[in-house]
Amino acid sequence: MTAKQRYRSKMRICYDMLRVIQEEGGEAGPTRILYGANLSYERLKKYLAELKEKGLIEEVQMDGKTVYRLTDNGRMFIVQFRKMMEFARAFGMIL
Amino acid sequence: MGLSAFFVFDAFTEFFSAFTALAVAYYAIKAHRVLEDSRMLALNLGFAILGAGMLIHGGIKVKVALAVLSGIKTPPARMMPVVRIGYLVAFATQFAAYILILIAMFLGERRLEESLLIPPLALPLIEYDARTESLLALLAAVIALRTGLSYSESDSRWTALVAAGFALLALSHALLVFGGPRLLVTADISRLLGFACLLWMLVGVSRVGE
Repeated sequence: MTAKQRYRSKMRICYDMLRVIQEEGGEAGPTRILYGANLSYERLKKYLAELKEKGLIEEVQMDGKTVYRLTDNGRMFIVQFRKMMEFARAFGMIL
Repeated sequence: MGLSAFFVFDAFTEFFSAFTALAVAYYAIKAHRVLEDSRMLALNLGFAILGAGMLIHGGIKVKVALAVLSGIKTPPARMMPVVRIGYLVAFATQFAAYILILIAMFLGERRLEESLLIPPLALPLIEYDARTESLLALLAAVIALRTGLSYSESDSRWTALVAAGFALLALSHALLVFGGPRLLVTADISRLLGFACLLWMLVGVSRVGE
């Protein structure tokens, strides 16, 4: 495994999930998040529960379907994570 | 540059560098909290040690500057060990800091001069040592090289600034190796520019996404 192919950290996975929801306009279904963040179903369930618990996303029902909506805290987390990622990158660290 | 101005400038660059290093350390601990990456903790520790060492060194330089400004003709004997210990602290902290920064990225002789007849400008002569400075120059150059290689892959201007910053720090140490204390002002300017690059990176990164 090269430095560029490090395993994603838990926070990186959370960021990837939130980024997918943001790119979908702030709301996304579980299947879109699963493919967009490249996760297994089990891990998706686990991380969705964690993101909900931390108040970064909220679960809503739309036309009988479950959709996950990005909260203000979730948006703030994305901005902060991007800044810190750039900081790490400045020192040649790939996350 | 006058004698007083030289000592004041030397102390100023030390404090500017110290506060920049501490700002990077603060940002690194913030990054550790958000990213939960242990490398950020090593980076934080490295820059915190670097900043703390420079603050101590800067404090001693202020003491020397004040003594010079008060118009002393020769430095008192008790000032010699303080000056040497100050440099020893600065070297040890920089050495430990560079090692920690390198770890984060990849995963002196005490000679007491008793002479009372030397002018104040001779104080840097007993302070900067070619062997310790060459070690620091080498470590800073390795960090610059490592970030320079990362820049060739990432193409991030922030990486370029970190690489440039450490290249200038390596240059400041190298100037003291080859030129000795007579190049202290040039070395100070090089170090000032090096930390200015790190500060620039910090300000730039903090504006990402705004």
